[in-house]
Amino acid sequence: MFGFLARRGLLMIPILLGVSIVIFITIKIIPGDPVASLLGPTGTPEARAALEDRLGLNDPLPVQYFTWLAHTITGDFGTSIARQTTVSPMVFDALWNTLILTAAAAALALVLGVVIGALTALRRDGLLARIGNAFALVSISVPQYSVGLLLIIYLADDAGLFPVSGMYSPNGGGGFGDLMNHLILPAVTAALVPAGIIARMFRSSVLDVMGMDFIEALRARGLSERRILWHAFHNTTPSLLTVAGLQIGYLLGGVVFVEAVFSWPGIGQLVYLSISQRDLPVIQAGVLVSAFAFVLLNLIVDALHGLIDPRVRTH
Amino acid sequence: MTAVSDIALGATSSTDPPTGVRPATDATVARRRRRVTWGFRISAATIAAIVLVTLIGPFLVSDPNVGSLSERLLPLGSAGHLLGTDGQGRDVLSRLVNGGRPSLLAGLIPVAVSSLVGTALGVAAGLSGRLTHGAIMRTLDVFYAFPAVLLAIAISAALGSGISNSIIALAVILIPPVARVAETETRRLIDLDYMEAARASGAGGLSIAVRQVLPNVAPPIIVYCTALIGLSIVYAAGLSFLGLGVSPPTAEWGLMISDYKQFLYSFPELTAIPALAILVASVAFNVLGDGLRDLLDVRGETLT
Amino acid sequence: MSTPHTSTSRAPGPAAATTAARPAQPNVVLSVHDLNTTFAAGSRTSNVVRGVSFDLRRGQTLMLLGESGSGKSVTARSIMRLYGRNATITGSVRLSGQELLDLSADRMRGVRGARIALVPQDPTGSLDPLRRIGAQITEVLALHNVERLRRAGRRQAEELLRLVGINDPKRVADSYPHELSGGMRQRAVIAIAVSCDPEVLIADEPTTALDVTVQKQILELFADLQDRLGMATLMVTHDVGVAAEAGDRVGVMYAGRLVEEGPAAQVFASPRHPYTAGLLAALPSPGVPRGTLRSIPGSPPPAGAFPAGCAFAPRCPVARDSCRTDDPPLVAVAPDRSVACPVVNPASPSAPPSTPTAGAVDIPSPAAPPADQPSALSKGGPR
Repeated sequence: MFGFLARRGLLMIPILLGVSIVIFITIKIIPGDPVASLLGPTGTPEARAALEDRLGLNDPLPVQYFTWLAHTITGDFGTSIARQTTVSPMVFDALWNTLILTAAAAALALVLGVVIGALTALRRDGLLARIGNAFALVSISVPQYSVGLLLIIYLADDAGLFPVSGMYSPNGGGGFGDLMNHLILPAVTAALVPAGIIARMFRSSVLDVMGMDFIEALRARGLSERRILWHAFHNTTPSLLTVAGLQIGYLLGGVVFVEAVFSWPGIGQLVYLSISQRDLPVIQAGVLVSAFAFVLLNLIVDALHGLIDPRVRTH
Repeated sequence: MTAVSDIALGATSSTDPPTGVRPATDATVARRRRRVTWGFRISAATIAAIVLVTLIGPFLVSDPNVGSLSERLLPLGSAGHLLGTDGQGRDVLSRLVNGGRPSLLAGLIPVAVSSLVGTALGVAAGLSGRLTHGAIMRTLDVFYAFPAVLLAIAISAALGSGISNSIIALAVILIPPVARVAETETRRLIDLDYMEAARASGAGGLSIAVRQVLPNVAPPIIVYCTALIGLSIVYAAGLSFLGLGVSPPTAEWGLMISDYKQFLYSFPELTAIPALAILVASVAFNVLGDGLRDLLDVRGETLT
Repeated sequence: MSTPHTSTSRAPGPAAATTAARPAQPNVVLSVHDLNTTFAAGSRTSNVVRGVSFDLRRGQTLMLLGESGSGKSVTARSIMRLYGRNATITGSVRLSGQELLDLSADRMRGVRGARIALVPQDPTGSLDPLRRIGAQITEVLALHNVERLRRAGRRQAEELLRLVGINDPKRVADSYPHELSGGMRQRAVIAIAVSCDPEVLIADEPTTALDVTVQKQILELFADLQDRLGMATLMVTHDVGVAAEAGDRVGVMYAGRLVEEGPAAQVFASPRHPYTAGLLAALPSPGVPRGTLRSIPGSPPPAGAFPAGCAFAPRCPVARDSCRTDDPPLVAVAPDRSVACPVVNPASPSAPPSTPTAGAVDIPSPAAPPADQPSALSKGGPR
């Protein structure tokens, strides 16, 4: 098991390097003149040359890349163009907030998806199963930004059940209850699409497993249906994990819309605000830490996978 | 499986008992016949209707960019403005109909591009030796490491707003999953005997790819990409919603939502109308994907 | 070997009467009578097993031999009542005198695995891939012996693995199914099946998924276990070689019916039913050059869509007009042997079994088909 994890961990390194290269290249291909924007309108050609030199823009590209990488690895993402502050604390605060929202949405999506998937697989012709199927189909097609907006109108504004935006109320004291209250609507909105996908995948996975020979073998050994179902669900966990892992990636990206709508101070909102300000260092840092978090989460999913499925460990 | 099963057709009903008792694998195979489902018919009809409206509609409605401030924010069902008017007095129906083309194209083109590029990459990876296969797949893994939407946002933010940049961004994030499906299907095919026979008969790599592999990997890719269209439409509108797609005053569904959200509290239906259009188009393509899966008899769930 | 207890020397009665009401015989563990299994598919129903009757005695192996779609596997599973609500099973299945078809679902669960055990065709598919072999054995032990302690169960699991010829039971018990070879997996499946000392072991094509060399070992294991544990075995196979090698008795099935039943040696030496004869004629055997092999013309009817009359009549070389309208019952033609064919059954059913019954049926006599040339009947046939 340890060896398995170590192997997987080592595999992450080239992927992270690749990620950094992709981000570095996007910095380089961006149209526009970062030096001019740093320099302001009063810059003389001499000042410009000096700044270019200081920024290392005259070095060969690989040197620039490694300089940039060295900074990035130490958590130095440069300075925000719009705010003139260092990017790192901003981005890591936002990442933490995004992870809270992602975790809540993932948990919700998993519960909803498994319940609906199991229901639609085991009671195929019931009314509830039909409703479940319809829900799964519609929810995977939903534009989250508009669902978020509509939830705001009807549940937050009209019904007054939940706060409209933000993470904490200005005068709410910032407690756990306050956070939960603010978390519900964005989490529900973010969970819709992954819940539908998990439901569909889990449904077909339950049907697959229930059609496998060992289910009949278990029945022939005299096991009760409940016990057989338990075996079956156990056997769906590897594929459930795979889907869940993919969906976490989806969530980390998809929350951009949700955060923008609910003003949730996460990576998504940070990136969204930075787009209008063309604050590229912040956008890049945001994408980079998200990708890093995603790769780490995948490692965790892999570890769980190995824990659950002995076939993965040995291969 | 060398199942010499005792039951051929008809042993299992299309409605298996709750516990999923299936006498034999043959019966399961028999149950999965190619069939035209109602979902397929309805979704195909819906998509045809949407396409028709976006093609002909603009000639039937008023100019989407003309409005008078004296007529701003008229409610649904107003005379001459069936869906009312927006904050600048522009006809909402006209903007909805005119917004269809950029909204659909911004979703369709990325899928078209990524299905071609992704299939080419995936089949090439599947057919080539260890080194090339590894190089292609590991590169794709790098793109997989990004949360997809965030990558699309970063790319379009880097390239600058505009519909063509949003299309490029979406195409980039859709290529890896398509390539992975193509690679898996190609690998599965290679193990089959007739590929062996094709190779033994001296057919070259390109000939095998075109004659043997493509016709066989096409159905699952078509099914997958159809479902991707639904996703892509939602994403494309989302990029516009964030200000990364078409620029105002062009009518586009995502941009409409973004425009109208300032009236969210007083006129929520303004936001709901374009949202509904996106939802209907997206659901239609997802159902079409399901229907195609049954029609082309592709196994497995479409993963979007 | 076959030790039929026919000391009662009952006189074979008139043809029609013998199918019903057979006297209870000593050592009969499993008595199946007029078993019918019908599957419902929407508004359609298909009758897949039609009036199958046989007795299985202690220490005896009965082979159900037939092609794909003949209903042999469904017969085996119907005995264990393994089907869901879409299947209707009628008739009588008595296990040591107890009627199984009348048992509640709960009590039937207590019979499965404990008194009747199943060895399915594919050992890989019949094990839970995510659990260790040892745990899968102890699960069944615990299920049927509630009071047994877990630790004792583990020791017993290892003993069972040793019993099925596994030399390092500790390692195997700690292994996951995918870590074992096909033969080892099948041994583990057999260990689970015999763990509760069942009265009847049902094996559905237990060697089909295995290599030829492993097949032989597994068949030997079945014989060995039967000697030691004294259970009765019902083995389903499409392979005449396997049936000849491992069966004491053989029942040939065609289109959901038992068409011939008797001691394996006798049935293979002198088949009575034209279908059995046809099967044997299609076998390669040392004396016969390959070119002269003949297969039965036509193909078997799909399950559930059987023609009226004798289902074999359309392919039968000796069929009469009456065969196409009247479905012949299984009739005793000799002590301990029965055939469902009016053509080859002379009016006097007491004719000695060795007599070549019908000149019209071309019967080659492959004494016992070589077991190392397994022949898949169902594979080559035109479909």
